[in-house]
Amino acid sequence: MNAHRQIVIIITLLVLTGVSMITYKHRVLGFPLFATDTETVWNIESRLEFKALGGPVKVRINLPDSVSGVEILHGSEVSSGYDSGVERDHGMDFYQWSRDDALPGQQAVFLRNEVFFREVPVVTQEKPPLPITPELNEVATQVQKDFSDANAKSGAKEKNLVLKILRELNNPASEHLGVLLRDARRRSEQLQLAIDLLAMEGIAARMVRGVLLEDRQNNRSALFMLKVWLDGQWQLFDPRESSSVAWDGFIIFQEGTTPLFEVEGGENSSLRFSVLREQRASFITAVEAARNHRSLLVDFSIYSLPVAQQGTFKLLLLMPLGALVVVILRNLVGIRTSGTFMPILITLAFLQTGLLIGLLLFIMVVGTGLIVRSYLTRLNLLLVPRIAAVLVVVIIIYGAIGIAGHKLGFEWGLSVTVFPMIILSWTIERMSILWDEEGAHEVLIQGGGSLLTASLAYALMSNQIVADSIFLYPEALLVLLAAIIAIGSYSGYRLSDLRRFEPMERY
Amino acid sequence: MFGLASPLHLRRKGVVGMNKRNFIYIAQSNPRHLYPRVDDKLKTKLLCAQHDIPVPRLMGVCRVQRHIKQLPDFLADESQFCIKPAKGSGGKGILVITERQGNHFVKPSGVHVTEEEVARHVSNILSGLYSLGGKPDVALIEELVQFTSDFDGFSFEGVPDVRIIVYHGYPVMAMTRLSTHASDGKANLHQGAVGVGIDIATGRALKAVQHARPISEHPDTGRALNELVIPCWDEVLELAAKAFEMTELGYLGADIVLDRNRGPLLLELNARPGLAIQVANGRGLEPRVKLAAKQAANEQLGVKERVSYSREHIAPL
Repeated sequence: MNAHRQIVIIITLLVLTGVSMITYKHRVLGFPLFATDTETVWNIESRLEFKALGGPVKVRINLPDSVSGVEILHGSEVSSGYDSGVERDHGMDFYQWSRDDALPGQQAVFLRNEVFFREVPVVTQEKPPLPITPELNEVATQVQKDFSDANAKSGAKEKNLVLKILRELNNPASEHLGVLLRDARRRSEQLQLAIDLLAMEGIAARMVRGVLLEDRQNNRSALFMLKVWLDGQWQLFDPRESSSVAWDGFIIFQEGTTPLFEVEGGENSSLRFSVLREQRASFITAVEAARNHRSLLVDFSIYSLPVAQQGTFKLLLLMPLGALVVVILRNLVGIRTSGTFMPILITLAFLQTGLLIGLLLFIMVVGTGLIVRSYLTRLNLLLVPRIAAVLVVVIIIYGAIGIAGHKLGFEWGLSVTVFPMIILSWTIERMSILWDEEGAHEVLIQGGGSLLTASLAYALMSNQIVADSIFLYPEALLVLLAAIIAIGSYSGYRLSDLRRFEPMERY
Repeated sequence: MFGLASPLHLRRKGVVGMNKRNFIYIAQSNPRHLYPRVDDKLKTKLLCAQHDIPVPRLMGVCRVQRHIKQLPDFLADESQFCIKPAKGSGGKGILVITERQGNHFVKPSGVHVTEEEVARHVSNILSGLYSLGGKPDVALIEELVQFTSDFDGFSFEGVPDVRIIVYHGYPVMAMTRLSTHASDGKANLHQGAVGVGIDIATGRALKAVQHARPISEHPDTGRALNELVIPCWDEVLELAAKAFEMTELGYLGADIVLDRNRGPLLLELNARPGLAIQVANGRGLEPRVKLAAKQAANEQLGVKERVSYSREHIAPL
């Protein structure tokens, strides 16, 4: 197989792999296309307080069910001395704390949940079975019958019917339900009544408890909601307000007969919730969600590293962009630089000092270095001692700039230390030889070319959107590698060739 | 447009760009392990001796610092010689001595040089001051070329050499570089030397450029450049073509000088010859290289046959 065909195959494979991984992360794992996208995250803190009796204690809080379109991340529970973790029992998830030797007295455990909603809820809910007609007592049957007849007359249907029932339930002097409400004072009893009434009409409904998602809610208890199967999906209704609730406005912690929480070995327990809204870059939530699902692509990626190391890699991931800029400028444009990848190292220094100050410091150090080096030429030193001498001079220049800047009140002078001194010494050495061999003109061309390359690389690498996007999709490096290989096998003209051979147009 | 040539036009003319030279010509024709044969002038000289290729005679080699002590004795009877680094590039570190006055040597510019200064120059060469990457080097002491007077008036101060591009043994393009006042006596096109394209078929000047602009007269001497004819052209071409058998490099630049007494001498070889020769000739390299490659693949020819093939078939392209 010849080299050309191999190159084509490698490029195709790299691009396909890279693009398909990016597509997978975007489409399936829900990574945003751009790192600038933000989304709303609800932080729900559940605080369960109880009075321990002394001895073993076991506490459970029912966890919200995962519904499609809703991501729930849990963890960061703060409760010392307890073993804690997610447990599964009868198909329901609990968060459980246990301890063998709790001291008697007031105790508290915390559970922190993060909830966010995908943009489009995918309705994959199963249709519930038709409700069984409940067995009611005589009075209730009569009331229900009257109510049903009244409904038939008024023509209220489906959603309106639900709202009407809820309104009646909130009105103790209700014409139809007043009799029954006398025995149903508690919210749960009222809701059971509503469920029975709806069942008579052939509408499935359930009682749920959870947290209303409103910003800055503190110390709230769990609220009852009515979940009704309407138009092929579950809809939520608030019994207090007699109104419907948006699908992303409420998070369900308990459904049906499962207890919301259980405390063994304690008494006087209470569960309180606080809710905080947070606007967060969507890729952070996407990464966390993918980790939660143990997605291989994310589990074996830089996101699995500790946060500090991720920061290092974030910078490393930018280096290939600088390399690409160098490759494009050298092989497609034909700009001459002094030292192939010296501009990238200069760019790294620029990233810390800022562009203008970086350029100023570079010119100050290299300019002064060249003047000193031109004197060293006359001494006819051997190569290694000569470069070592230049290195010492460079350090002295660093010190001079730093101290002079500090005394004069230019604190940016101190940032000169981020420049790689060995590289600068070599640059000075190489430029000095160039000056002798080809003249000052060539030094300006190569020095200018290096700074232009470094500045362009800086423009790309300092861009927050670019940095976040490449961190979000490190797979893009495969595409970048393909581009570099493609340029490496490009045998067409450089822009500089077109300039240089321009006189040939006239022949 | 915008001072840029149209890539279509250049492709039609078969002009070769830097990427194609590096990627196709050099990378595919010149295996890296053969580079020392041309990058080390001492190796080149020894190879030339084996292949009966005339070069400026090697008088001696100074390999280690302690040889320098013997230098005054060695040079005692010499008044004309040239000291150069074996791995130097771009003409750096070459010391030319044309005359002797007592204990002093005299450079072509008339400047006097003491024996100590010559010794220090050799010491610098050995420590790698002029070599690529600063590697330790050796110093060659060579007989001075007695330049032919055929180029009188065509060059200012310096003496021209002939650069011939040889592709798989076939001379494909030639030029001569004439130093000017602007180039400070150096035959470097970047610094303002005049490049004159030479017809492979006849050895006559085709056109001349300075700073990539066409000119017709030498800017300092005023001689009409189209009168330039390279003497012993057949021998010059054969010398260049022989370098292929010697180095086995497919893409090669041979620098040849003309000695008054000995005729054409091979001065230097280059495994990465530049592309400015195309501007001096007003022609692209590509069609010539293609024909040479085709012919090289077709039949194995001797040096003389290859040269006559080049003069007959490649030169008109």
